Amino acid sequence: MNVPSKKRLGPLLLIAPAAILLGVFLVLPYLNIVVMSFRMPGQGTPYGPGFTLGNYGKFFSDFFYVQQVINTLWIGFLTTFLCLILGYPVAWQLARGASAFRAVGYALVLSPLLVGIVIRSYGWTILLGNNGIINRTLTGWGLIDGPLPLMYNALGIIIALVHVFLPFMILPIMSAIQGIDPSLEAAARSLGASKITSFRRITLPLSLPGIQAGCILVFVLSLSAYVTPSLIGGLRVKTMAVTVVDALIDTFQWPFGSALALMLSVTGAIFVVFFGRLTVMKWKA
Amino acid sequence: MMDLTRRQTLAGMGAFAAAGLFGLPARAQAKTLVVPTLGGVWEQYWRSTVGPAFTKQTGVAVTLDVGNGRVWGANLRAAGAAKPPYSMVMTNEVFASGLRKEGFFEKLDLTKLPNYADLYPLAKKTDGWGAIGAVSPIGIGYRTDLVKTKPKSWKDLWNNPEFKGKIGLYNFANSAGKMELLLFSKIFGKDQYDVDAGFAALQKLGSVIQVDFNMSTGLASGEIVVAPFDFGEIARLRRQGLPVDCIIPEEGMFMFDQTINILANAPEKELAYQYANFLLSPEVQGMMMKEFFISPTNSKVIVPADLKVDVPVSGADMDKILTWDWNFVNEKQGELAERWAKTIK
Repeated sequence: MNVPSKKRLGPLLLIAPAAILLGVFLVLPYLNIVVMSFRMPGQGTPYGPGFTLGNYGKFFSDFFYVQQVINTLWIGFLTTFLCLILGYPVAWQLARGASAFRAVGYALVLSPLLVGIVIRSYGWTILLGNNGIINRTLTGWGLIDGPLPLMYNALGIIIALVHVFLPFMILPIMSAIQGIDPSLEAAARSLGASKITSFRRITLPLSLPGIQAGCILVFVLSLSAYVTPSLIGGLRVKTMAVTVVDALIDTFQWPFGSALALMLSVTGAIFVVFFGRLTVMKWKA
Repeated sequence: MMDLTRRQTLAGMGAFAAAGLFGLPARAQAKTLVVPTLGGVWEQYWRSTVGPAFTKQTGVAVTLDVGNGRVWGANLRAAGAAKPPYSMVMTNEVFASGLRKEGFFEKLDLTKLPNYADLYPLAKKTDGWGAIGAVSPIGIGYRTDLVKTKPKSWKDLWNNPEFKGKIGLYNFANSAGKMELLLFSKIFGKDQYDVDAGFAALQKLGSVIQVDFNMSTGLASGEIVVAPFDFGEIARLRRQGLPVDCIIPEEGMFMFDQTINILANAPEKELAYQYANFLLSPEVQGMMMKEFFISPTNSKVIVPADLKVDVPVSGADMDKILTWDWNFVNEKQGELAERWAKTIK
């Protein structure tokens, strides 16, 4: 490495603290996980001597685990999609709506973040449970015979995750829409475009960076969600985060748990990159 | 932290006397023992009562490390047996036996544990490596208002149609989940090792509600009407006004045991022994009985008449509690956990 000139030293010094922090607390542990995933499984110890590809072999040879990755990705997709559908109108309203509504709306959007995730998930169990408010009410009105399966399944997990992650979708989209000059839409309207056309041709494409950021955030958060799936899924729905914790903490299979964790992050990363490409292409088209 | 390494180094050089100097009262800092404790009501009680009582008796300050056996095990394994973060650990025997095999603990020096002599045989089954400091016997707990036919045996979970879909089970990660498997293997198969029979029985049970550590919420909300429950927990719920009761099943009960272990390379070994002896004393055993309705393991503690309902198991009945081969479970842990995950729906 050549000695950086004075000019280049400034920026380097500025990013040094963050780089060191990331290096020590993210990159090094990550490398440790990669190494761990190739270690031999141990008997009564976290890992044995020597190295192996067996942990990945076990993952790919047993559809039980592949299925879990598929489940987790599927839950992530649905959660992201629902957050987008529900979040976009709210974001638009916050960005373009009357200022009186804006402050209240903003507070409402942020309010789920003010309550701990455990409490929120328990709140959903009270609503969604077989003996919960919804099922009891419907049974009481004679609308259903037995409880609707709202909990202990993917549906309940998705409902709760959408609630938890909605702000992460709304806020980036809101700031993207705020960045669009309203006169662009006015110009489109004056040239005879209908409201729908002007939204389709002007607002939506210009807010794509916000959509992209929101979707990636929600998707990644859904993949790694642990508390909500374990409480609402009642341990019946196997998501990867729950299985990884099982392997690492409960059965002390550190190598296998590391391999599982890496499989999850790699598949997640592939989808994020793919999605990023997709939205950029659309945006340019 | 600095202090610990310095002390350990000195101890390693055999300079115990010098190390002792650092702990002299002349130094502003009092001696401190790191005490791992369970969360929730346990943490509150340790913070308000047990910790201060120990400090009052010995002058040793207590720092709590809230977690559970799995978390402490992970912390110990991450640190290694040579430099453990704790001096003592009180946890379920299933976790303790694994750590013991890995060389974290030492055989108890009974000269420093006078109270060990008064323990029930049940509490001394580890051949002098650990002493059970608390027993919460586990039978069947149920909602008296939501169940018409009171359960009598474990087999009722399969035979009573009222329970269908409303049975709570601890998951395999929890020590009680492991015991569920061994118990059902024993009931439906040849013995505790006959896990094929156990898994077949679990499969037959159909849809159950699995929890990791918090069975009470499910029972309180009525999601769960029947489940393996420790009697202390049922007593607490009953005192909160919930319509619940518990029974000792015909096939026998198991237990949440809390085995006290001393780390071989404990940073504060002397304090750890003091604290262990303090936990096993009749006074503290009696305190824990009144607070958590656990069955005292010190035979000198007599359960008073007004606590008999809440602490149904004591005295000679203590040795009726079933115990298990944890080495078998720990060696096969990965495989059993996977089978469990694939079986229980």
